[in-house]
Amino acid sequence: MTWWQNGSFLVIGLCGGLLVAGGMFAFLAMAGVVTRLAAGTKTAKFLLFYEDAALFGATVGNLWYIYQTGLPSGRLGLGLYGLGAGIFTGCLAAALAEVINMLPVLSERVSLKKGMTGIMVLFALGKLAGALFDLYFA
Amino acid sequence: MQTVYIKTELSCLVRNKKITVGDVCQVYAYEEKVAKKVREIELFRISKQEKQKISVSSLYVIRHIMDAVPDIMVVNLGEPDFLLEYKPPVQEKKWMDYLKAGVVGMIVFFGSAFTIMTFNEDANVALIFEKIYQNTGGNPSGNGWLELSYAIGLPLGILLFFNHFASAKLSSDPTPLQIQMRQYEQQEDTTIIENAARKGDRLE
Repeated sequence: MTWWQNGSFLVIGLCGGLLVAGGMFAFLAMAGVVTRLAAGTKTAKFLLFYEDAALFGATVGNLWYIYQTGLPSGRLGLGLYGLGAGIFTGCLAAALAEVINMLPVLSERVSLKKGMTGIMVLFALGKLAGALFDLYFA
Repeated sequence: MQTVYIKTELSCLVRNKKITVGDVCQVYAYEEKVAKKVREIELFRISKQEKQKISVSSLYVIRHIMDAVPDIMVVNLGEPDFLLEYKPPVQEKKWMDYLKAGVVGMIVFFGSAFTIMTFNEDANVALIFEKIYQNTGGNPSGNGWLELSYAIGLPLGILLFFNHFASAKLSSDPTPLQIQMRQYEQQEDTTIIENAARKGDRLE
């Protein structure tokens, strides 16, 4: 490879990474997962810490994906990763459904007065059933 | 006849059970002694010890001021309805906060690791790298420059987006999450106020 090829790789990779990160975190911020978690636990004063956690998480996950290196973490690390990723993805799914105003519109259409809590529980159970089916049977 | 200006915020926090006008809004009058008198008017007393949110109409405040000080005019420059949040003056458990922050931090850390991996897999970043290497006339498996710079660019992008690293801010603007947080809290307060109005337990 010549120097100009390497140089263009460097620019492409750097800009690609920058924009992917910008887009991805704009999306996460819009969905409001982190703010909702902070609001739920009343820990809004740790918001900057959460942003750092997101930064390091994405960096480590990205390195891990790109270099496919071994990361000897044992069952505990694996369990923590699965749990954290699961909770986060669940929050993201619920937050997305909320951002696009699916439930309010739907309940307005059928003039639903009560049972919003039940619908949220069913929403979660449906996600659980779908995930279990996808992971173990499909 | 003197005009008294009051300014209420959407939500205000009180720690004492006896709530005066000065606790819930800023008061201004031409004569300071009138303003002082208005500030000390008692609005109501919290009866229960637990923390609670009470929805109050600014008319309630204006009525109390006019009842207590005759011959003044009250102008509210703030919110027409606001939330009064009462928290008993007890020491909150600090370690509990740190524990919660740790758990949420863990969720965010692993969650964003997972999210970026699903994105990379979805967008097939590895294949795109391969194609770029190939189309620039090189070895399809590449020489690692794209991988390296992508891995550097990603955290840089997040830093730029979030606008800070640890506590060192790149500029004095609030971060996107802080803006989002503020919006969420405002929406939460407005919802509580509107729900209370609908159920009729707002202090009018």
